[in-house]
Amino acid sequence: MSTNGDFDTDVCAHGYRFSLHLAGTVCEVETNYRPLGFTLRHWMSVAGEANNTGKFTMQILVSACSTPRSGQPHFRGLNHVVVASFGYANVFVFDLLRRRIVAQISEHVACDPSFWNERLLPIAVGVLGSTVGVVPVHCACLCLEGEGVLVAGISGAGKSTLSAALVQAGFDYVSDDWTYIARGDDGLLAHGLSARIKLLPDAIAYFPQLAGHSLITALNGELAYEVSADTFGGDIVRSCLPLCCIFLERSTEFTSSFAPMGAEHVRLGLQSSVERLPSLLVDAARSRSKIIEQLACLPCWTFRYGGAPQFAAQEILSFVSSQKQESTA
Amino acid sequence: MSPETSRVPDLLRRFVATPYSSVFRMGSTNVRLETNDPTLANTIQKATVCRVKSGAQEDSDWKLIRDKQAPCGGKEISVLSTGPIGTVLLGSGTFIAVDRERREVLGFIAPDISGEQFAAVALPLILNLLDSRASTQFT
Repeated sequence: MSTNGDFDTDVCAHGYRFSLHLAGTVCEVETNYRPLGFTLRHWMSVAGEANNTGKFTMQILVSACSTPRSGQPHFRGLNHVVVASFGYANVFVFDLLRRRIVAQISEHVACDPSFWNERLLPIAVGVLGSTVGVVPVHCACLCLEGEGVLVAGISGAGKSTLSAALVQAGFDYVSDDWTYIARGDDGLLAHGLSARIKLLPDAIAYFPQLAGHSLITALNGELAYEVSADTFGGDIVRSCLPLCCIFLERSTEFTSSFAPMGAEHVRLGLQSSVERLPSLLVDAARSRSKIIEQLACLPCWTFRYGGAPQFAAQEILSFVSSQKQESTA
Repeated sequence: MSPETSRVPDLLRRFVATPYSSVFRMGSTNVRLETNDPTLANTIQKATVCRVKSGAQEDSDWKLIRDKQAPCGGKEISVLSTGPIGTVLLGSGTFIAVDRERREVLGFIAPDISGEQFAAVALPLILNLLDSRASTQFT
């Protein structure tokens, strides 16, 4: 094993080898390019992090002669194969049957932490997660005193804006768009990948601190601010035990109300947000369904709200605090 | 929950219908092709030697999607091959994955790649990958 301060790599047939701890799963990386370990060092060791899931491997060839930056993302999949390209020089091939990623990338991309942290690693867990016992769920996750609140809703319901406001209100931040659910030692665990909060340009009306940031083109092509949760004064945590689920429903009126949801309704809502898997991956689909069923057994509410996100965040804070008090009483 | 939430996404276009199917022979391989593009099926068949006959040694399942939404442009041709899967990439929007162990060929073809170009450029690379043993190779 060779060591260079912040990160460790094993030397293997293809060059260097190291492990990444991602959303409760482990990714074994092999590469010919040692500086990639430095780029990914943030994910290498997580003391005490439970890993009750499977592993996947990632074999990355860095092409020294190519230097192009990452280009427009393009994703396609058939059966067990998914291909993600970011310009012609940066291509990732995912094999869901063998839990393996093979990639060819440029040096520039290998040395770009934002590419890995904001794009590729969330994509990798999103694509392969179901095959290793990690279910990507389209919801935000905020954490209050170690317990997680999952915030779900259709696109435009305000998950990200509310996430920023909840962080301002004192919640810790796990994720704002995709949360990765896996089995932990004490039940389900909700994981994030420290992705930035994505806010549309009109969010500046509620968060003046965005004025110091530039708008960028997000992965889905939208113009947005992508900012770290600490912009709003909160801490970022990697995982927490989910306590409850809140499904957002926007109202044009200034209002706030919570209504309980049945487990079946929740299950259908969560199941509808995950991607269909081909019949070839029936085991992955079955394992995913079991985790979603378990998730649907959490206390869940519909939260209908209108008005400023800070107002909604205070309403959620009061509601969640009272629920916690009731459950401990 | 609104009706919008009940739609299950197919972001990767895995479930595009492939209503055109044909079976033909390439060398000693029986190819079962499914596609959404009848022109492509015809072109590939013309490029191969003969239709299926008894006595062929191996079967291979192919699914090729004509991808009207794929990005066009780019002239680069590359092959990424390590382990059981080899992938042929043409330009910005065309990829064809070859699973040697399962003898499957799976691909999306961008609008700017004609059937003739596919047959002339991609087909030989696909057949090479299909017949080669798993190895590490980046070109």
